[in-house]
Amino acid sequence: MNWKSKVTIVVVALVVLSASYAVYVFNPSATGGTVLTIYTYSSLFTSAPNVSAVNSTVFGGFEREYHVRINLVRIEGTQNMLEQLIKQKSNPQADLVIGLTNLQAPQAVNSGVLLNYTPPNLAYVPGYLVNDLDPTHHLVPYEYAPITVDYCNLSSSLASNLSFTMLENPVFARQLVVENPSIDSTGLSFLIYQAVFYQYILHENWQSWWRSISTYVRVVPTWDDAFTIFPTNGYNMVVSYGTDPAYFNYFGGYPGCGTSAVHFNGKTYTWLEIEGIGIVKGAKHLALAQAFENWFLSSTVQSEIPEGEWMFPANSIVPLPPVFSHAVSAEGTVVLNSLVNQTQIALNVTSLVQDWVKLMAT
Amino acid sequence: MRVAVSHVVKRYGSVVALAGASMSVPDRSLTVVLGPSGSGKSTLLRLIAGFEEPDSGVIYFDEKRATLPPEERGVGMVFQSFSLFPHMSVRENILFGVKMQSSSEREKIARQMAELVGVSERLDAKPEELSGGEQQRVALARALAVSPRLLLLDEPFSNLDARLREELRWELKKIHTERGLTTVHVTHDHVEALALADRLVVMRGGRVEQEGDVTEVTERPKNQFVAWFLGYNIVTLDGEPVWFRPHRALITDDGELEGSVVAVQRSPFGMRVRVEGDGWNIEVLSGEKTPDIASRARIKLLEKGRFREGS
Amino acid sequence: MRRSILLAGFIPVAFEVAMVYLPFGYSAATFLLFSFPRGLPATFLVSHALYQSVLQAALGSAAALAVGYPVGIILGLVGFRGSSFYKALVFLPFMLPSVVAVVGFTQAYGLRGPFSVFSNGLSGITAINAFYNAPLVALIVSSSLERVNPELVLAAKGLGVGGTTSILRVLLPFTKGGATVGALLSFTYSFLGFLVPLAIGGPSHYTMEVLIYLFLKLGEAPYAILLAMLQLFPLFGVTLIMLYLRGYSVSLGKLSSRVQLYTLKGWRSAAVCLVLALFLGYELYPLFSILRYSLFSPHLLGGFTLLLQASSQGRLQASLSRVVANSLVFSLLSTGITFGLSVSASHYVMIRGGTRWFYELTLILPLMFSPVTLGVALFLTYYGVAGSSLVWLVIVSAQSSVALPVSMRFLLEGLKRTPRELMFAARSLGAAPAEALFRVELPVNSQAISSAAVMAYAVSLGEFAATNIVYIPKFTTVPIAVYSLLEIRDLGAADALSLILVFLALIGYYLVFRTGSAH
Repeated sequence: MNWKSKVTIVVVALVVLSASYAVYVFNPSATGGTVLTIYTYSSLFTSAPNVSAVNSTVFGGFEREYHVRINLVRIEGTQNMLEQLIKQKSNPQADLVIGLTNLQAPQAVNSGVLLNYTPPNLAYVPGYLVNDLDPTHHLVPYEYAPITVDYCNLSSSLASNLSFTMLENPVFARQLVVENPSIDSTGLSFLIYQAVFYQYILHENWQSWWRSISTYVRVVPTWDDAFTIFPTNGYNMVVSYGTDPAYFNYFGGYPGCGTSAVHFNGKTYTWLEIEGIGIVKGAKHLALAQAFENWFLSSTVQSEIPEGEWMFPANSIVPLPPVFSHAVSAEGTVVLNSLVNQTQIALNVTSLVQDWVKLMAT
Repeated sequence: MRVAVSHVVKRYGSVVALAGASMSVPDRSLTVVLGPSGSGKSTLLRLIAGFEEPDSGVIYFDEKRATLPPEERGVGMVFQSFSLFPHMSVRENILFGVKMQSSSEREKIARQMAELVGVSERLDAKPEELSGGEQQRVALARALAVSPRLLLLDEPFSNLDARLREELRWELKKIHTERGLTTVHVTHDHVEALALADRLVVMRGGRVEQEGDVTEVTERPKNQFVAWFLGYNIVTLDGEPVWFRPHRALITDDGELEGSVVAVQRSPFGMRVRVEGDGWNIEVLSGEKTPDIASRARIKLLEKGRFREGS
Repeated sequence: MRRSILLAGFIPVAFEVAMVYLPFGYSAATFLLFSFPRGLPATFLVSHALYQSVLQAALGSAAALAVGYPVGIILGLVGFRGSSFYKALVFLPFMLPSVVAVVGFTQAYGLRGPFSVFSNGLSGITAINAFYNAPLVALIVSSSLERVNPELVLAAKGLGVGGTTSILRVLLPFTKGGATVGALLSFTYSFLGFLVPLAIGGPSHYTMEVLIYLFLKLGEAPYAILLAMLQLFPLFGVTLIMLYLRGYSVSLGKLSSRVQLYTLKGWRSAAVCLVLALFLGYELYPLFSILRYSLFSPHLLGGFTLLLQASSQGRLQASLSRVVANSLVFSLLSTGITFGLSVSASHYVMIRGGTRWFYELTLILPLMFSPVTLGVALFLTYYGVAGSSLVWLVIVSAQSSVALPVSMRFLLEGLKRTPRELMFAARSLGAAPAEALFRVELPVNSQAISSAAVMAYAVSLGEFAATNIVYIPKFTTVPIAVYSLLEIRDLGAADALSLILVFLALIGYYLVFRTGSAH
């Protein structure tokens, strides 16, 4: 075969490949019918005892009632989720986003990637939760939990008096596992918890605590990693959520373990991680998205939250299952979120994390 | 086609390969460019083929300046290192430049060319399976297959055995006589030059020492270098340089030259005797009796060529 | 100069300008003009990251050299049956994405236990860097030996210099260039380490690349750009040295070696076998672990079951078939573009002749723009223009610009060894430069072509850093999906997906070797 023909064939093949791929990409769903695209994080509902049942109720239920298909896209890391939304601003691919937290809310709202909407079911969510997440309702809460320290093999007197001061003691610092705030959202929330507490309650420099424990504490990349080493090998404490006792009770395997928020001067101080659901600006199926958001706050879905996510449901009229008896909620505590300006926090997060990394690397 | 080279200069960095060379190639002639290594003959060939441009000077094809790129000049070339395309068969090599589409036409040409050079049996072989001589024949066939208007050969036989060289010389001469294609043949071997040339160009140091009809050059070499390179003997007689060919001298008792025999070599045509004298040494053919080494010999010259210009 | 030649030379440069220089310049200018006054970022973090980058690069290249050089010597000197197959096997890891290496090492050596030194911390990072780059060093060194004139050895023997040590003394100087280039390439790749330090090293081992990425994630694009600019300096010198050193290549073909294995006696034969076996084991064990865990654990095809589950739950950010299709399409397109541009650029250089320093420098410089930097620059420059549906073009371009410099070097070095007269012959027979290129130059150098194509395909298929910055979920590629699985510790599914990636690599491998094995 002529050399020219050979070269032409290769070039044409590549062009055809590009063209067909382009067509494939531009083509709306080949399956026909409406598809609602939802971005969420990897672990949504994956800790449930019966994952497929929960998915079937939450997503399947909506699909059946509204005759649509839900395309669930799980993105690892809520910050990545937000970045994807920002990247796609000019041509949004998703209709809804589930899982942006109170720490991301200011950026999410400011970047203009969300639409504000007040679903009817929002009436069942306590006001402080709504305001601590986003008073403008671009994001509305669907679950929350306070950041706490899980413990095993700790005496009840120590547990009921858990404080930062106590953790400064090398004996305890050695047993503590902390997630890396530059990578993990739990770790980040904990860092902010500690920093806000020190600044607003103790009026001290937050770095001093970390300096005392930096040589003893065990830092792991993610929350999942933390639970691969807690509670073995002498790591009896881990930064996690106030709802963990419910998980322990349900699945067992954590005898004598519990969780505690931070105590000081007879009061308990909590920092809440509030997770929200929002409608993407430019969503292709606005009415459906609104319906879904409302659906997500309904009792049907919210009652799946406790044992599906091991978090407290935002909808306050949903009863908690018995296993939640030892869980630590926001009730009766000083909620630090309400003391601070969310936007202010968001602005300072970067330098906070940088300072932490610098501190811990020495 | 006629080729004329006019005052061509070519430099490579600080090395001057051609320092103002001029020569002409008559139509239908077999012009041999003869010279030692480094005389610029290969460079000249490359310039004629168009692979490089001269720094100054002009090359004319049929009185028109040669400005076309090599692939459009219609020049066929055969190289010292054969340069057959290793990934193609003999047939494909030969047909490389042939533009004809019809496969029966192409096959006809391939067969014709193969027969012309004597490789008809090897059309499907790969170059690596061929001997040196066979490869060079294929190279020649390949160059001729495109019906060039000029054939250039760059020391094509240097890499071949001596017997093969002679064989291919005959074939080349035969093909040239049959086809009448203007040919330029570069070599450093004076025997080969004399065997093939209609026209002879002798080069040294980037310049043309002498050019002309082969008889003209061989009978009247311009200077000592030309004579020496053609294999002639040069001695000084009566203060003048004189040249004579080895077979145009006799070892007799009444010769003008006297020297001693230092070495003897056998050749297919007789014994060659090297005689050294006072500031000279020459080579002559012995007669019936081969002189002994270290004996005195007297040489009688049957021709005494004189140079037209100073050397 | 003919227009087509100039065009051939111009297009690759235009591509690099559009995809690398312009975006980077634009981003840098934006930073300097609008953000600079905010002040410089935490210099401590930066110096620490720079130190880590240099440290890991030094350790990585030292380890790669220590492991790869002896193997290269052996491969270049000793022939044995199946030697090309052996070479192909040990080169496989180099073509694999870093994410597969991370998965493989994690699976093979565990997170805890006696062998976890290979999969954790600085030692783990060095082990993986050696894993990657030792085969490259070995193959470059062995091909430098293969090109030595065998008569040299015979001459040495004739002069009374016999015996193994003496032969080595004669031949080893020929490996200097190859070893240096191998070490420099290893240095560069280790320096630019992104995924490996991120996944295996932890915060105390973040390199510059990781820091740039983190700054971008935190929304601090100007700082990311500044760091990227700082990162250029150490690599600039390295790139220049690589440009200067000539004549290296990766020979994947049959060996034409000095000695046959079965002729070696006693300790020599045992030593050679041992070294070769150990090396093969080191390179293949992580892959073997992946294979084992995806196919047999916890039950037959367990890993694949987990993978399908993950896909249906949306954990791959797109369906499994979509992800695989994306990777395949992107890498094929990218290979085509890269290869086409390499051919074009090499052709231009060959025709012009001489040494085109500036041109070659322009094309190889992008080697030192880290993939993360490229991703950042492309993102900042083209996002508004591209719009979401054309992101895939940006991804393909990013992958091509990362692959082009290396691919072009391999092609050019190979083509330069074409005897000049072969090209003269072609042209005198009426072939214009382009025709001569395709009918003679390229076919004759099928080995150079294989190397270049292999590099292009490998780099594109495994590209993670730049793609990660630029992609949206619809365009997830396999490496990104594997990383997501790794992050949520779904090791079984990660194994299975890595296996698919290896399979994709092998297809390309096979296709390329079919063309390359002609000689």
